[in-house]
Amino acid sequence: MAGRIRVLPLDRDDSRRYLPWIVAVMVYLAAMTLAGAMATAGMALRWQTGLTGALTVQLQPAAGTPANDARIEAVLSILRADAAVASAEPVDEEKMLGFIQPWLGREGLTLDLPLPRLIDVRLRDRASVDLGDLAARLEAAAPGTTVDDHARWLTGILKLARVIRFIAFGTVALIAAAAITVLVFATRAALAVHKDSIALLHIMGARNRFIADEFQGAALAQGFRGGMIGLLTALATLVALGSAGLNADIGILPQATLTPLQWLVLAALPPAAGAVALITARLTVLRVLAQLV
Amino acid sequence: MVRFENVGLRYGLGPEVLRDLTFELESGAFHFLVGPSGAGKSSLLQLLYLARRPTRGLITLFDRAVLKVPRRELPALRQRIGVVFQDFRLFDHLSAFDNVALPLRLKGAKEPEIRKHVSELLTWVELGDHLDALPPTLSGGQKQRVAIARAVIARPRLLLADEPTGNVDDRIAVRLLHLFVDLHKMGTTVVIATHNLELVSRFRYPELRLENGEIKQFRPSAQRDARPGIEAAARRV
Repeated sequence: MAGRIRVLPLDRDDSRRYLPWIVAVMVYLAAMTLAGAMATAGMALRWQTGLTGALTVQLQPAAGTPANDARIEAVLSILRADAAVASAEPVDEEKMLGFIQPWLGREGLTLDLPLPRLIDVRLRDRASVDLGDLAARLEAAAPGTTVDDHARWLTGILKLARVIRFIAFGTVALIAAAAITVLVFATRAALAVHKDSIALLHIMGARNRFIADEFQGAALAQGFRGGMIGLLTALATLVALGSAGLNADIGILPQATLTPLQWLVLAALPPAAGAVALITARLTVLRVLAQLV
Repeated sequence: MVRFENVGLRYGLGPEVLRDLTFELESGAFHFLVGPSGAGKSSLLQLLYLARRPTRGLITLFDRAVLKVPRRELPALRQRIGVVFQDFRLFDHLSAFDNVALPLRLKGAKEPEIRKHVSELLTWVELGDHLDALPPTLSGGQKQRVAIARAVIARPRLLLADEPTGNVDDRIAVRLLHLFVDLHKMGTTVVIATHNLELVSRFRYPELRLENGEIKQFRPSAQRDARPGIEAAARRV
């Protein structure tokens, strides 16, 4: 259709003049929703990857028990003797203090603080561990020892990520439905505005497909233009959010970033908006014209 | 070419605006459709160019019963009909060239072919210098010639004109009618609706007279008025 003469001046219609801006708002909302959902999903995945195949052994400080270092050595020797364990390293006390600094402040931190000692345990690939047995053996060697396989955290986080993804896709579907409804009404309004010209085209022997081409061409251009405006605004917002520090390293959470594939998904929004506009306009026009003589 | 049998037309639940029309137009005929305002001339033309379907009766066009033609085949039928409207109905945002080219584009003609034929035809109607002009910048007579060029560019077998001389002075009206006569001589069936009886009297073609939605007079082509010299006299105007 390149270079085709547009018989109906649809771009100049009041009924369609604001269509690109409406599409822009829809695409902006869709882009922000998708970016949020994809970043959350990616964050959850990275957290899951980081925690799967790992255990955390915690030694509570307790009065009347042997010195911490001796208890740690006892626990480490049991762990390192286990065939399923690839490595077992105590977490540095400075690092431990760093974890709680955001809550207690620098002034409240001293090395005398009775903090539990943590041991970061990495399991071998596809190795299985009987947590109950391991916990019992560690408890026997060093009372007050607990083993955490992060399942409780992972289950909750993955569930939250799934819910966020579901809500995001539902929101995008609602945005698309709203956009389609607006497009249908705008197309019907344009059909009413140009009814005399359309009647003339019919008299001259124009097929409904020719008239639908007129509308779908204009809808594609307006949908794509609106989509680009919406996407660029969304990208500016995401950059601003990043600059504002919302993407900073919080410590406990992985960074919320998008993969190249996820950026491609966002980049596909303007063509998708154009395609939705095109298909909606075409189907609406053909349906309305089929009812005419 | 065209056959009407007991054709009636009403708009909605209103009274019949056309009643019991029965006539036949032969291929290559030239008829004036005359009658007072409100007689039903425009309604009859609308039936002829398939903008409406009759509420009763049978219309046969190009040997096909119109009511039995499937909708998907109507465009092909309509492409064989050229229509000149009283109010021109040009697309104001399209140039004279693109307005005239439209019927060819609807038929899927190639652009080089379109450029050649449209330029030739617009030159023929003395608008060769106005190919790129937009209709709002043209005079009434020029617009009428663009409208006529658009109606004939695709070589229709049936040419219908609704008051084609209604917006122009007598001199241009006669010139425009000669355009129709030339097309008729090339084999096109022509029907011109007009209330300009003086103009009709200058040409020796039969009349189809409508009054109150009924045919009051019909002379087939074989009985054409043979007043010698009238057309020649008209040509001298």
